Amino acid sequence: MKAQTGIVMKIEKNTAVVMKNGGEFVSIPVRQGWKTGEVIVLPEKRRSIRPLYTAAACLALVFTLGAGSFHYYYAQTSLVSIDVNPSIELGINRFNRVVETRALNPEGEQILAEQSLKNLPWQEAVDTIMGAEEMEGYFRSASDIVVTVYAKTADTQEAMLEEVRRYVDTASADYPALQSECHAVDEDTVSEAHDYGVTPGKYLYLQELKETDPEVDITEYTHHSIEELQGQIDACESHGEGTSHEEHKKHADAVETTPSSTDSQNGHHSQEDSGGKESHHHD
Amino acid sequence: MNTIEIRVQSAQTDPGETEQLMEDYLPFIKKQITGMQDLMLEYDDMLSLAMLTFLNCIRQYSPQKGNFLSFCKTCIKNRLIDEGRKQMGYRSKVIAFEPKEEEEAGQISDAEAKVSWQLYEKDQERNALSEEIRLLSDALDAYGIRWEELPRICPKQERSRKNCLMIARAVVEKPDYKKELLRQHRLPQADLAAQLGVSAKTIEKHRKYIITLAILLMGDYPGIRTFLPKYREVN
Repeated sequence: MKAQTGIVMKIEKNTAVVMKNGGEFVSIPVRQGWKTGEVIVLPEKRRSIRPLYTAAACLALVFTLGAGSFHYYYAQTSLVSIDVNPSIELGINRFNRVVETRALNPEGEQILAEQSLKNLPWQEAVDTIMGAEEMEGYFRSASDIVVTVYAKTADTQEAMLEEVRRYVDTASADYPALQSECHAVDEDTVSEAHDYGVTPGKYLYLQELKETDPEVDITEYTHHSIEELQGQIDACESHGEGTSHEEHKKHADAVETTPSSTDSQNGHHSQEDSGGKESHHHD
Repeated sequence: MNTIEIRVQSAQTDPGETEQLMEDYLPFIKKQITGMQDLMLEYDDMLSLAMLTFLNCIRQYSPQKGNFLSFCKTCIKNRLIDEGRKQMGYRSKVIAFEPKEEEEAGQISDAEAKVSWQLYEKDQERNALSEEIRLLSDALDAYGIRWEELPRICPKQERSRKNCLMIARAVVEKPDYKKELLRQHRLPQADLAAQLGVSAKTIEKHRKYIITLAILLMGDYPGIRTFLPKYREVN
């Protein structure tokens, strides 16, 4: 930056009134040798670090707000899992938008690879999955579809469960052999399911298998489809090993419907439309 | 003696002629600063310094100095180089001066003479400016304007300062406005606002600054005026 000149108009104590080139009057500290009437080259302004502090503060604010907004939007408040053979989970934010999609097996990956579900309303995402071309094949061949819903508040969970059931019923209406189950699950169940790398829906079946046959190592069954797990449970029951499947169902039916309550025996909750685990069989 | 030298001698006693000479020879002054852009000074500052030097040349010129324009040319160039060096000096650039043996005898005395002449010139310039400032100070005092308050009341925006200068010029150029200012010490704010299409509030807000500029433009303050953008932006 080039220097500016000015005329010293008055000096009083340590301050000089200077008329800068252009007619601006400024008051600046006197330098040695300055006299009234002298044309001076104005000392260059020392760059204040205040603007740097201001800029840094603004940046910090932007980052904080940005990070805050990012976190606020992407924080997952509810979850929907779908298991046929493909196992898929949808992470949903407080605005009912899908913020995360997870495939828990290769079949699920294949479904998600074909779809772009991020930021869609969760209902639309569920509808898209149910209507996917690949799903048709599974619906024709499979006999079970399990959908679970988790939400932080009981009211939301209940409302979501209602909605998801409608979608499942509509989607499975064309497949008479398809049995659908919709469950509400609590946070612990979701967490434990994730520990095993499965959806909460499949975890419920693994728990059931464990109850039917306490000696079974459920980690060996995490890659099985719902239909296969059901077959295994049925096989165990028919051999009279462990608790019967029906007994387990009865137990599940007795579980409280609020998401905050806990199941002391199984560590999971299941909530159904009519107060129990419900299976829809379309004949 | 050429016309210019006659005019210069006339200007030494006639402020009006000084003003006219500066206006007439502004292109000449501007020409002197072209090619000196490498100096660490803004163009406007160089122009002001050149104009101030031109004014100083008018005051100091005598027929013994030869052609006035050549004299001015040398003075302006020396002055600008000197200011440029001063600015470089602020940036801690020291150049050692070691003349060759054969140059020592004659040229050192030339250099010394040049330096002392420049110092004398600058001293003259400062004295002339000091006198202008003293007169201006007295004139402003009559309007209750003090130097200490000008930095505070002076508009910070360049555009506002230009507007104020435009208003001040309008006051100076219209006899009625000028008379009102000189006699009643006030600005015809409503008339100025209507004539120039500016807000009366703006005129009131910058009243003291506008009066300062008007007095500066009206009076015999040619040295101080070289620092106003009279010739560059307003005309």
